[in-house]
Amino acid sequence: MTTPRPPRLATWILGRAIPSTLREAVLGDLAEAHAQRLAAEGPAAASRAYWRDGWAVVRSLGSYSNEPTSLTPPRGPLDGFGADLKFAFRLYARRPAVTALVLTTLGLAIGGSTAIYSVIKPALLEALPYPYGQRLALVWENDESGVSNIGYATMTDLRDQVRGLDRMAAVGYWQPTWLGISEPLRLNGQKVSHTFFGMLGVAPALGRDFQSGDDLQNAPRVAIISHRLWRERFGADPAAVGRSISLDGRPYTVIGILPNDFESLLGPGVEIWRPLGYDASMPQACRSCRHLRALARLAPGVTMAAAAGEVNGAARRMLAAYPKEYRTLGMSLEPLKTNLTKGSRAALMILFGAVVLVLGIACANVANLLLGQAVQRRHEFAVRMAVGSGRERLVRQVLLESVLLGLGGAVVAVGLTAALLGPIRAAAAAGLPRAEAVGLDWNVMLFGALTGLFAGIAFGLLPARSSLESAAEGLRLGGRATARHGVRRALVITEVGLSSVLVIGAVMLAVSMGRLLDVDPGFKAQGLLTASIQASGPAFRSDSAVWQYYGRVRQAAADLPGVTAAALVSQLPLGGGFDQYGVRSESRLQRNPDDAVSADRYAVTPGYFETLGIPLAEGRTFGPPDRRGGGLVAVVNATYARTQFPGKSALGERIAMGGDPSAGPSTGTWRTIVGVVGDVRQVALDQPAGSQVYIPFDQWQFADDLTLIVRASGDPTALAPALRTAVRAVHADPTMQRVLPMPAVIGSLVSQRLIVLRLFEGFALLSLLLAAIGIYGVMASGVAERSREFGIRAALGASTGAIRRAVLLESVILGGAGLAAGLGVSALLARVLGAGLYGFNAGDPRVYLGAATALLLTTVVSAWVPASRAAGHDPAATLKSD
Amino acid sequence: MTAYLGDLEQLILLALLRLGPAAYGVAIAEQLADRAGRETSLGAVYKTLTRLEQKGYVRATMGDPTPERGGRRKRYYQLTPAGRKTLGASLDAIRRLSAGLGRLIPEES
Repeated sequence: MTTPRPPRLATWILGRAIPSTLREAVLGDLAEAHAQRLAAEGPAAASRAYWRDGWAVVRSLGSYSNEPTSLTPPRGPLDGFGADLKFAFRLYARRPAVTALVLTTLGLAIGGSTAIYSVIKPALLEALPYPYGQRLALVWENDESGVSNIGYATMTDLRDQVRGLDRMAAVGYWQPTWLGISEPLRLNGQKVSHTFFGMLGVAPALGRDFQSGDDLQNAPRVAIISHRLWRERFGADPAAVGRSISLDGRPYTVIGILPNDFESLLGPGVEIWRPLGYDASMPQACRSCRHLRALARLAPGVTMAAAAGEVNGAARRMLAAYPKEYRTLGMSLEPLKTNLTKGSRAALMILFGAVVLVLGIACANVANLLLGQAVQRRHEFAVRMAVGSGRERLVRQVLLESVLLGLGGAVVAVGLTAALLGPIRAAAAAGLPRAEAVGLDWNVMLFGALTGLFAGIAFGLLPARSSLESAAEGLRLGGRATARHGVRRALVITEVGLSSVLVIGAVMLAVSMGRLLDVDPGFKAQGLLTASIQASGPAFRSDSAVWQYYGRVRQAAADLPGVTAAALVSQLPLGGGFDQYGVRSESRLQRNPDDAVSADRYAVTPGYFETLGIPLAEGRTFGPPDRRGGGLVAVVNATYARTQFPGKSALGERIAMGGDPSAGPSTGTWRTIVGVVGDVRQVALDQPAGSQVYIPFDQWQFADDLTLIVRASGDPTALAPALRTAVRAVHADPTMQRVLPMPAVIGSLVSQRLIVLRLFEGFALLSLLLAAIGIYGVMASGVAERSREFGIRAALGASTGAIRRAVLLESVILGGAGLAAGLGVSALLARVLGAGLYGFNAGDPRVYLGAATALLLTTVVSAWVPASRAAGHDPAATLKSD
Repeated sequence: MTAYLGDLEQLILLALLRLGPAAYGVAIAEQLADRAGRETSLGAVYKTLTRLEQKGYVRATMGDPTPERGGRRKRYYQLTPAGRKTLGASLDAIRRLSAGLGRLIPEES
């Protein structure tokens, strides 16, 4: 039989508490004494004596403070750090529930911050992923309604005249269909000046860049493809360079493959590029053909402001030289980064503000919890002080504990962020720049760790201070703890206040979103299925073939079972695009030859207004006689009719789209207004319609790509497969894109707002939950300490109801104080934020009442259990316990 | 000028003399308990020994490990010449002060 050894834990603690010079001798002596006692008195007594003697040794050695080198407790700022660390870990291991609660709270709050930061970093903070990306800028023409794209001739003039711009490139849309593969594939592409990639500072990973010789009207057709397209469609075969592919029925040679890390910021998701190939003689190269974006790189040493001044000087010269081509107010230079971030900056900042508030609440909550613990641990603190622990050491220990919790929370947070990276990217892709670059790199992890560190310090300061007071109290025998109610109540009030700001913010966003989605777009969106169809390939070289094709598609769709109506349109309302033309009216031109208004232009098939449910106000819609070769007609919307022909009917008036009507090209020919229909919101739900003009699709001079819209008698989504088959049956080459029910189209238009709203709601709920935990904690510990009081009250005849009401009232006072502070802040906030919120009135009392109700309800619910506990005290038991 | 010793210091130095080469923590505490009737914790013994060591009155040497000590070595203490001199001076002072007072100080049995 082996001799029982002294208690290991005691030996372990002593080993750390006894100065090193004496450690071996003292432990040996204690072990010897233990062995003697073991023989004489048995193992239990020996163990007890070992603990007692060991404790006495530590105490007398520890309190020795006469500056000897061997016995003093560690004095350096980091001495004993390892021991403190071990102690902290043991402390957490002993309280798994509390530790888990704290880590979950912090993990959620820090995780929220880290997740938002992971999105903000590429979207707002980082430099553009191009060398010297800050020297890239977009050049816009400014007109009455804002900025617009520019024409090719304008771009070449600027390129030649403005010395402050080193290089310029034009970028235009190009959506070719790849034919000759198993199934035709619509590609997202751009046509660009040959200088485009060189200007960005990007070179193909394989093959070559565009050259000036490629960028000519009749040059051999070449294309550069993305790394992804190369991997997915060419099996990453290096021989792809030099291969010929058929785009829209024409052969293109692949000449280059971009590097894997190239980010197409000017066109997210673009996979193929071709040279612009414009020539000044081409009709689409005109000055007023404003369909190109112009990107420029500043010349070395030139500031953005200097270049902008130079661009404006050039704009003035152009306006003087071509007064008819430019109705603009000048030109402007916009840093590329500003352009990319302006749409999302506000939303991201709002979200970041929200997570900071949540983090604040979480910190207050954890501080509250730790304060409660500090009271419970007063004996431990007292003993530590008694064995010679200095005040600094005690504070350091408590701070270290909370910083460790903060860092633990950061670990949980980074784990959460990593797990949610997929959904985060998907959400970011709905409207943020550089969604693909969202990731969990060292920088994001460092952010999480620093947040955890600062949070740990923030919520540890109060408990650390409190631990000193607790230590003093703990020294008094049976010292009753004053649970620092003042501080803890203040913390709860802060929590409720911060939470109410978030709740009010969420309600504000929700109200605004509700108003936005309630907006009548001018047509009945429910029950519509939409699909954009591109007729391309050798069979569709002639416009008449395209018109014929769309006519047959309409018929095929209308014949499907479950379809009540079908039509096609060139610009799907709320579909993300628009096409504006200058419109002149014959009767007004007689008074002013330059009178024209900008209007949305739609080419529509018969049945369009009926399919969408756009109301007819006057006259008729399009019918069979309105064909190519028939009398030219148009339908206008109410706004156009009202503003152009006030006080009289628009019917019978003649209008012309673009061009010069007297010169006679088809664009400028006169058409008779045969009907007036309701306004339709085109660009956004919160943007009222301007003037709108509808033209029969085959009376327009170009064959547009059209979007098919069908009205379903049942679920529109269920129709999609049948619709695809029917369209393929008409002809195999055209591709169908974005087959979506109309509500989904509208949804994607508001997706960024929707994500902000959902996240904000999530943060608000989380903050309510945290506030509830805080209220519960403070009320529960308050009730526990006052059990004697409640017992006496009960003994004196207070009913349980009265006691419960008293406790609940107390909690409501706490909640009310927080709420009052929060409402004050929110009212200010509403004035700032409300301006940017659709249909939101900052003074709307319902918002505040709703939030106040939610918070007071939370308060009462979380105080209910402590209140019931107080009411349930048995007076006899309470009084006996003294 | 001789420094004075505290009473526990004095007792421990006497125990060291009595124990000779076998003077280590447990043995010292036992001597104090047996001979002087004074239950002293190991902590107090070591505290005092350390102080004496710093004053230069004792010096420590490490002994051999033994099984009942969990394989740990003993720390043996010995008086230094300075320690002997100071102890002598201290006891002398007591002797001189107590000379002739025999009847006034009752002896414990």
